[in-house]
Amino acid sequence: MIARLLSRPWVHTILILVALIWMLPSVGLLVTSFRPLPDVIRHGWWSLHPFNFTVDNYQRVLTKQIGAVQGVSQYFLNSLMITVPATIIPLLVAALAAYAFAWVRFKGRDLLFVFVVALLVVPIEMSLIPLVQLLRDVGLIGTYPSLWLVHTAFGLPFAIFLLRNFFVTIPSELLDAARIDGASELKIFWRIVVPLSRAAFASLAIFQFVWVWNDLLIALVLMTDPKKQPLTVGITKLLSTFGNEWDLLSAAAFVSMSLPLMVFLFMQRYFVRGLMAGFGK
Amino acid sequence: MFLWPALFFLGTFLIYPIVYTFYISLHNWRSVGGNQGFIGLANYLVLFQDRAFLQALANNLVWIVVFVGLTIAMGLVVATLADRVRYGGLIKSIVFFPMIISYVAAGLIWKFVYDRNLGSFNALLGAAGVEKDRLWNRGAWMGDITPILGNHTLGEADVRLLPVVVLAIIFAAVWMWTGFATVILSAGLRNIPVEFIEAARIDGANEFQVFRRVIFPLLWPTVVVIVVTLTINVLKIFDLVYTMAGPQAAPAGVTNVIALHMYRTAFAFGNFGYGSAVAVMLFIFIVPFMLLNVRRIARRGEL
Repeated sequence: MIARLLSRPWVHTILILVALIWMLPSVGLLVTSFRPLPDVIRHGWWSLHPFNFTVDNYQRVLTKQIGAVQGVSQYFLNSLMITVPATIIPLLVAALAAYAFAWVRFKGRDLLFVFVVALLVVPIEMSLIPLVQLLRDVGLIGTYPSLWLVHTAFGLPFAIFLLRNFFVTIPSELLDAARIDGASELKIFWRIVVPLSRAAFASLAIFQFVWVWNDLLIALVLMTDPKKQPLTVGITKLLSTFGNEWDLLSAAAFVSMSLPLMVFLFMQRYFVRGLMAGFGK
Repeated sequence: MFLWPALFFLGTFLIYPIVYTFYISLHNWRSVGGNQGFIGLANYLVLFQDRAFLQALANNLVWIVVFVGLTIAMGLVVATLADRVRYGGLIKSIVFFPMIISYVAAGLIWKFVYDRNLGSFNALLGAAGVEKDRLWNRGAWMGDITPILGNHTLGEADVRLLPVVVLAIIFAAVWMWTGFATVILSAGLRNIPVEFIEAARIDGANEFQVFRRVIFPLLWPTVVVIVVTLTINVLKIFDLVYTMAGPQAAPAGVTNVIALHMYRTAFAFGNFGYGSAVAVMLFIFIVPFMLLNVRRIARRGEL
């Protein structure tokens, strides 16, 4: 294949070139975030002289007043407030449903599952307008719980799909044995299925966490309270008010990337596994 | 029963709104004031005379062709080459990194790359001897990536120019998704039995023939999965354009895409009826890929 057609030095050259192209954009912004802006403007971020390392950009952006919000640190907390429950709730709800799809026989089960799979790709845009009206009518718009509910619904198809496919791989003898011993379905679920599926739950939790953390559109439309908006919305606001102040923008970008970066560094394995379970084969 | 919580969430926040969007799209419906009466397909008829929508539609097509093509090509290169060297895992990790950050962060990273004064792109061009002021239009947007072909200043005429700006945003998306293509293609390549390849070589096939006749046909289903996934995602592309080009799809709406158009009409201008029609169009474009997805999963024996 391609690698065989090319001689060794070419393989190395291409790979290193690709790696450089892929790193350069993030490294440029990272370096900028740790330098005083005048240095960057005068010499470019890539210059080494003079290199005055500073965390001042981060300090300023974390506390700088942006609209109604007291600094990017507030946006960070808001993101956490939205993301943590919006990761836990769909996991619980999906686990129960996935168990039913995998191990409980009922009429129309396969058809219903096809339906869930179809929902996997329906664009969010298809539900946003009625959601705005619905949340307005019940007085929930602009609250954290409204985003938890909506993220739960949007995360469910993928979560159910992934967990159900994992659950069916559990040997049925295990469940049958428990049933013969008189265990209830709920007990089987908690005592057998959940403990056996820890890896699947880990993958899914990371996936959902990253997905909600990175969401812009849902928050932009539904989080009408400017004091409770997440980092993604905050950064787009920062961009429109301080479009040229790259010292602030770069620091804000890396604050917003901090948690995904952790996931990348320490839990990449689970993320890739979730990706494979969802799209692979 | 175990299903009820899930059915409640899906029903209330997903299925009911989806059905309702169809209904709203047939009405003159405002964010403030609500339903102003049934107007049939009028919203859809306006859609095809709306230049902004047609521009968005055309851009989404460019997105599909360029983005999907480039991402798969890059994924294929990295997946095949990285397994041949000892530091291949590191390369894959580097390429995979952008997959995990938000479109907003990625958009910011690439806006900086294209920045007229501080960006790497202009610096590299400068180092290569290209005088930037000849190539990049002063005063335009995003580090001035709008090229001057002739002596245009930004206006009506530029809207019809080759949308270099669109390509600039597409590259950012390719940068984000190549990791995805690489991971899936890597797994696909690993699933091809070595014996097949060895047998072909013993039979005297050259490397090109091995790739065309053995590897490619076996890898094809994997490529289809990636094409479907990428196409679905690119039809919905919103965040990246919103971040890099702003809510007005600067410059002058040249970079508009369907999802951004929907957002603008519905939530910036408060026209829910028309916005719903745009959303329905987006949905209709996705339906064929949705069916492909369902069929693939059904064939995998997972139903």
